[in-house]
Amino acid sequence: MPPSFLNLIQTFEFEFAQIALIATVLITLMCGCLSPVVVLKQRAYLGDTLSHLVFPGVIAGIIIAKFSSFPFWACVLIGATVTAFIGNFISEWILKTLKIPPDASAIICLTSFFAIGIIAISSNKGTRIDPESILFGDVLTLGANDLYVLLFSLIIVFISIISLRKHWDAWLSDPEFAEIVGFKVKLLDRLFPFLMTFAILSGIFAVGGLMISALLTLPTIIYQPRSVFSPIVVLLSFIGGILGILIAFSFNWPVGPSIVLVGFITILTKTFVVHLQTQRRI
Amino acid sequence: MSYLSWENLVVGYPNKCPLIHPFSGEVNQPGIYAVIGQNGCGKSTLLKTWLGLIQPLQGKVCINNKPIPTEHDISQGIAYVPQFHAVNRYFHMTVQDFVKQGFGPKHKTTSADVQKILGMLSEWQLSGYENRSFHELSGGQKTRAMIARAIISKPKMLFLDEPLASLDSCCQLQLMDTLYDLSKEKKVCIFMIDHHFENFTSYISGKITFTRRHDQETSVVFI
Repeated sequence: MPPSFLNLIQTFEFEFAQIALIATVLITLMCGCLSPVVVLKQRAYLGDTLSHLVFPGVIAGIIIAKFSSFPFWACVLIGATVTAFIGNFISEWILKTLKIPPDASAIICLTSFFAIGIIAISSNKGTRIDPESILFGDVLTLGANDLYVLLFSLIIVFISIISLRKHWDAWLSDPEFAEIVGFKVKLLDRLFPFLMTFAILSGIFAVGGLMISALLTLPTIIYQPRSVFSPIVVLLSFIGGILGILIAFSFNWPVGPSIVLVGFITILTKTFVVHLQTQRRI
Repeated sequence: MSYLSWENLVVGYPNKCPLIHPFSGEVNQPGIYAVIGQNGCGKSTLLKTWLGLIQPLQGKVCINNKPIPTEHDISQGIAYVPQFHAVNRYFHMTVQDFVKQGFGPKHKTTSADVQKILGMLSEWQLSGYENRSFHELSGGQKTRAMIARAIISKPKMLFLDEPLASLDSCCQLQLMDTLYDLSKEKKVCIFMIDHHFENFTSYISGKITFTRRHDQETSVVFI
């Protein structure tokens, strides 16, 4: 066995590497389940938006934790959840009232909430937080408790997708027809932003908001599914995660960006192949 | 029995000028009812208000003598064919799965249902397309697949939004013949939007006409 491969295997004897591997598997499975809904509903930008919306909430959580007896993680989680939902609500309100494109209303909230977070940091000099840690995360700093949160999120997302599979398909395909024949359109209208926020919040400290947004998008671009739950999409997400973490440990790269890079290279390859096929047909 | 009735109905969108002046009407016989008018006069909005997809600005609508349900169900016997642009163009669902949605959420698909879908596709010249993506179909084929999806559940009321627009003259005639048979044999009440029905006046049981002067925003509707 080559020595570099042996070193890689030995890395997984450490607890931090085992936790990172399990966390990556859980996150990629969760993103594989939710990815078709996100892409087919044309809400890929929401991941990016949510990762910025939670920023002021995390800062507020850290400040509250300093002056209260509540656990640090609870303050940060509640803060992030509150600002994510407020930001989502404002974005939808602007969208529906001003009738502007959804990405424009999301960008308005994204930049404004990030700006609020930056002002909050500069106004509280004692608070040491790096905006990059929210956007890019660090899977190597996770503990065993984080794995339970990720497992819980995976179960919630999986059950929501599988148990309502017919309804998701109809909602994605033609919501007005779906509503008339009795599919649960109104329920899914409410459930989708909740699941999306939940998935991003659960993975934000592991791979970061931007990375989870990419993981929610990449698998469905690589393989276009014909139903909301596609085992191929989940498998692709899983393989991308495993390859990403192996590359990260081999070259001492950060895990989240390595997984995203694997997905990006796959998409470039697919685009090149499709381009060649189109050229041949012409 | 009244299929559809409405009183002092005004349709439109909140905080905008109403699209029509208040009007009332009732349809208590099966048949094909044409909804005719210029672009942007509120025909689709009226259809969606009848269906309960949009709240009326004023007045009330009753379907089968009852106020429009807030939660729809396939058992209410209502089917809708929107314009084909309404279907998500990024979702590459197969034509068979697309038509299967017409059975509603509670239906468990059997092999007999699959045969029924294939028969319906054959009837609408879509044989061999069942495993293709809906978006690989032409505009006219998409409309035919949407009609197949709507009528597979044998509805009692059928609402169609400009179904003739993307069909060639042969398919237009086939659609009108099928709708006529449904209205006569199965007593289905059909509401259909289009700009004109000159070639099909003999099929039409009644007309709901929108008229508006070019300098006005609100239409007058008469039956």
